Amino acid sequence: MNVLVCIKQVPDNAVVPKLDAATNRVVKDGVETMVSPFDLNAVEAGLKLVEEHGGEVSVLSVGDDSCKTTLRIGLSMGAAKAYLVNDPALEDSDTWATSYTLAKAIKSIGEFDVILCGKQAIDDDAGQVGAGIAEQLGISQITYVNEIKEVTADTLTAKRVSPAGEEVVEAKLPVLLTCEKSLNEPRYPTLKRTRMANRAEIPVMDCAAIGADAAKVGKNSPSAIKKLYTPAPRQSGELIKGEAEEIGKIAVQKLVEQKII
Amino acid sequence: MSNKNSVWVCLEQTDGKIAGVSYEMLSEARKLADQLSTEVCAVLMGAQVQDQAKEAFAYGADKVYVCDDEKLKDYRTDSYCKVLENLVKENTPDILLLAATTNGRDLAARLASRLETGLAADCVALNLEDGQLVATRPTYGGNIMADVVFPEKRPAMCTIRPNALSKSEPDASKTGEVIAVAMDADEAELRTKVREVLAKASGEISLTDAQIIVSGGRGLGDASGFDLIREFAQTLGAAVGASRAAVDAGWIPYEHQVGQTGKTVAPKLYIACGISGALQHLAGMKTSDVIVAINKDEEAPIFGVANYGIVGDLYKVIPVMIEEIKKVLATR
Repeated sequence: MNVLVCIKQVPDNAVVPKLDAATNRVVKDGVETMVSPFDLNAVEAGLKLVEEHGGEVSVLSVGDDSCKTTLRIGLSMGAAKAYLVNDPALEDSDTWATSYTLAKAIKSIGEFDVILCGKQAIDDDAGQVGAGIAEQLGISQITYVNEIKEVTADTLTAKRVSPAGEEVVEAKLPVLLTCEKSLNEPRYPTLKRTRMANRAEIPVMDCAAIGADAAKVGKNSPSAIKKLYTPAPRQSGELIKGEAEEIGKIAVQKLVEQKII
Repeated sequence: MSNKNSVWVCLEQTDGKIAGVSYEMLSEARKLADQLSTEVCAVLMGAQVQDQAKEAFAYGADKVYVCDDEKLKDYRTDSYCKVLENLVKENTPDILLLAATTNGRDLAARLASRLETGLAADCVALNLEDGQLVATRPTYGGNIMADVVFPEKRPAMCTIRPNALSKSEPDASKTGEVIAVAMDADEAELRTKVREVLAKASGEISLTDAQIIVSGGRGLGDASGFDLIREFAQTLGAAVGASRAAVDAGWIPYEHQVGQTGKTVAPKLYIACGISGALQHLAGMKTSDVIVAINKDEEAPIFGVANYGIVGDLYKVIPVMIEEIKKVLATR
C-alpha cells in the first residue's frame, strides 16, 4: 500500500500573527514555523497504514525552500520520500489552485492507494484542499476522519465526524482522507531518523515539471483576498471580586438583568 | 425579478429536518438577491424531505429544487455533488451558499474543485461592493479576517458558519415554486457507502449547536472537576466544553475541545471555568456573544475577553451560581 501525505508549514500558533499593511500579507519573516497540527495526524495515520499493510509513505508540500524543514519532520517520523513543489507563480494561490497543484504533483510522482491531509491548515483554516485534490484526481474522499476501521484490497472503511454525530463510511480505493486530531497521537521522531532526514535529498519541482498550467494558479486563482485585517479587539468587561457567596449571586443577577439567562 | 444571476442556497438537513444554519443562509441570500434584483433558489436533497421544502419560502426562497430519493438518505459526497453540479450547470447561479458543517464543507470543496470556481470557507459576513460579492472569513484562528472576492468564475461559492448570520423573521404567508429534480446517478457510480450512523450520546448537547457552553480547563485540578462543570451545564441546558490542557490531561474526550485545534464556537453565552485563556483557546470562542470567566488568577488572559470576570475559586463560586440559577428558573 502506497500512501502520500500532504503537509503544510504554518507560522507558530503560539504567537499572534501580524499584518504587513503595505503588502496586505501576514508577516512571516522572523516568525517560527510549525507543521500544521492536523497534518501530523495525517502522517501518523499513513505510517500506521504501511506498518500494517506494507508499502511506504511519501510526504508532499507546496511552498518556498524553507518548507523542506516541514518535509524533514515527515521524514524523521518515518516517511520514505519527500517532495516539494516550489514555483514563484504559485504565490497567492487560493484553495482551488492549491488543490490543482497538489493533484498535478501527485500524478507526476506516482500511484497511491491512500492520500492523507489534515482536516484543515491552521493558518488558512479553510479545509478545502483535501476534497479539492480528491476531485482533481477523480478518487473517493472521506473527510473529518477520526478512526480508520478496516482496509481491504479495494476498500477503506473509516469513521468520520458528521453534523449529527459520527458515521462509518466505506470508500473504494484509492481514497483521500482528511484527518481529525482525535484520529491518533503523532509519534516523535527518533534521533536516528532525524539524522537521516537531515541528510535526505528533497526533489523540488516547479509548475512545468508537474504539468500544472501557471495560468490557472497564483494570481489567476478563481478567488482572491482583497483585504486582510485584524478584527476589533474584544473589550474586557467588569471584574467581580469578593466572597464566593456574594460574587456568585452578583454574577447570576447580572446575567438575568442582561436577559442572557 | 429574474432567474438570471440568482442567489442559491444548498439547504443543510439531517434526518429530513432542515438545520438552523439553512434559515440563516436563506435570510442572507434574500438580502443579497434584493440588492441584485434577482431571486433566491434553494436546493433540498435527501430522502423523505419533500414536506420540508415549503419551510424555505418563509425565509425568503422563491423556488425550491427538491431532489427526494432513497439514494440521498445518507449524505454522500458523490451523490449530493452530482445533483448539485447538474443544477448549477443548468441554472448558472451567481452565488451559491452551503453550510460550513462537516458535510457542507465536504460537498462545497468537492463541487468548487469540479466547477473550477472560487470557494470561501466558513464565512461570517457577506456584502456586495459594486454588485460583486465580498465574503468575510476568519483565518489564523480568528486572529486575522480576510475579505475574499471572486474576480470572474461563477458561481461565487461560500460555506457559512452556523450562528454567524442572523435569521430573519419567518413569514408563513410566503409561497413559491417547488421543482422536483430527478436523481440520475447509479448506485455503482457512488464510491462511498455509509455503513453505520452513530448518533450523539442521548441528552448531550453538541458544542456547535449550543446556545450556552460551560467549559472547564486546567484550573479544575483533576478529571472529577468536570462533574461540577456537567452539573453547571445541565442547570443551564448548556453543552460542555474544555480547553486543550484539560483534553491533553485526559480529563475529557477530544470532542469537547474548544479552540484552534478543537471546535470553533460562538454561543450566546460562554462560561470559561478555570481556563487561563491561551491564544489557541481564545481563537475558538472569542466571538461568543457574552463571555463569563471564573478564575482565581486576576491576571489570567481570559479576563481580557470576558464581559464578566469572576475572580474566585470556581469550586466555591459555581455551586452558588447553580443554586441561584435554579431559583431564577423556578420562578419562570
